[in-house]
Amino acid sequence: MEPAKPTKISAQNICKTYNPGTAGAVEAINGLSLDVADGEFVSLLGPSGCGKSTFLYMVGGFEKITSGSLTLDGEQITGPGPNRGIVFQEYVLFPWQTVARNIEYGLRINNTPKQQREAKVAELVKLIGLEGFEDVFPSKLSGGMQQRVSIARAMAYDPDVLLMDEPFGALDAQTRNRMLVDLIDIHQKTHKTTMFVTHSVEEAVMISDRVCMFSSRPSKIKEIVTIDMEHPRSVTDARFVEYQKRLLASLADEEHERVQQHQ
Amino acid sequence: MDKKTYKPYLITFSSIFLFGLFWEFIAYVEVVDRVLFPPISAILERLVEMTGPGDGTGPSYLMLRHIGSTLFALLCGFFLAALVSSSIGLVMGINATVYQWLRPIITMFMVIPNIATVPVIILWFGLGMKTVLIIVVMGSSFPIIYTAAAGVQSIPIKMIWAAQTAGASRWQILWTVVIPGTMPYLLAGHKLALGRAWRAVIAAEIFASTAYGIGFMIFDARTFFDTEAMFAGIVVVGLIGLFLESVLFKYVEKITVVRWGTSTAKDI
Repeated sequence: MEPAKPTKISAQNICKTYNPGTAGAVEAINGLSLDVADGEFVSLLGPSGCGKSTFLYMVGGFEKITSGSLTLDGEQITGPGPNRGIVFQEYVLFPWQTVARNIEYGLRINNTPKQQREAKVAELVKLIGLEGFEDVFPSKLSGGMQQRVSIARAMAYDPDVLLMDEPFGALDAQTRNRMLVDLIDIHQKTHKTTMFVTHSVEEAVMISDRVCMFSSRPSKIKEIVTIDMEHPRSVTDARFVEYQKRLLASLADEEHERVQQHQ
Repeated sequence: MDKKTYKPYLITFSSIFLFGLFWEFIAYVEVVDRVLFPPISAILERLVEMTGPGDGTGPSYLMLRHIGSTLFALLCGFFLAALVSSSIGLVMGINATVYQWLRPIITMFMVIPNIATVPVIILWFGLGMKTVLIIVVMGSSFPIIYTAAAGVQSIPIKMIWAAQTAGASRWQILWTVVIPGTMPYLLAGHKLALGRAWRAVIAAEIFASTAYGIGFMIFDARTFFDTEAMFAGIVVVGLIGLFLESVLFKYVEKITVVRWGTSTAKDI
């Protein structure tokens, strides 16, 4: 066992209610607790509409918590900030800027000198495998390439935490697999604490140190599965199949629950 | 140039040429009195004559003076409208309360034909350049306000989040995300507004100008039964309008939204 790493993100008994005190009040999250260690890669997995993205947005500082405590490095999260980087399923690059300008956005915001910006862009473009595309506009890139740029943009200003909201959800299977391998590689090089929302069990087992299974709404974390395998992991490995089976069964239970709730 | 690229131009040119030929024919067989319906050749001749230094009896370069006066009113009015209306539109797009309160008023003014307000503006401000300018500003403001507000609202919230996460302040978000993100809409709005401003300036000059302006010239030539000059003025109005609407904005679009791949227009 490695020595325990310090806690990076700590969620204690978080609740989230939309339109509280009205007839249309919706309890999205009820009593969610989770500690994420520094450098850890954690997946948030669960039935659709369970609030895993909502939780990610809370850590991002975009959504307010109704009650509970949510800290980053021991300080309450009150809003978004450059100690976090975010990657969305829809990439949301700035279409009016070239690949290089998109990547260095955060560096221009914090007034990094030009030379350092150029060095950082060169380094990241290499990391994401898009050398030669620096001066291309995003609309000319494929979905996979745009998502690579989006990841580089989130990492450029060197945040401690990387938040990813179903980043590969809009990509075809082949591109997705390639991106997964590359993301594992990037994580092993940079050791950034990463929260990764997905609805793919395979993705979660392939990439994570721990997988957090959300219950259906009002959600909390039902179970946390530690994936005790070294990278690179193989989908045909017996242990991989075992983890996958276990999580799929757990997910199916929740989906079943959700359908029953609706009826 | 291969066949595919020059063919549309050839058709455009031939179509206009044939129309001119037809006009010439009608004028020569004198279906209508020639004083009321002069042939194209006479109109163009008159246009050249009015554009040149003249024969010394009247003011020289008369047409250029009219064009200058009209373009001055157009550009001053349009830029004033662009500046003020873009700002109002951006504020409306950013602030929901401002939007809710201003939208009904904007919608109301949008549907009022510009010309309907001209008599009142003349009563308030008299005849002259000031009135023409005000009518141009009023004519071009509302499409810009409308599209600027719609443009801000079209920016995905996640794009703002991405900027906030990178540490951008409110002002930085305005300059680096909101304004460029609104650009495709702003351009469409300004294109629409310039078309409206052009119609407004000609209409305003007809009623409110006292010495110069193409609109004034067309209306003034009526007193002398100078139909050739009137049609010459109309040709100038058409040519300048064509330039403003298709050449100028095509260029601005080419260096911005078309390059970014965010153009709202399909036929680029």
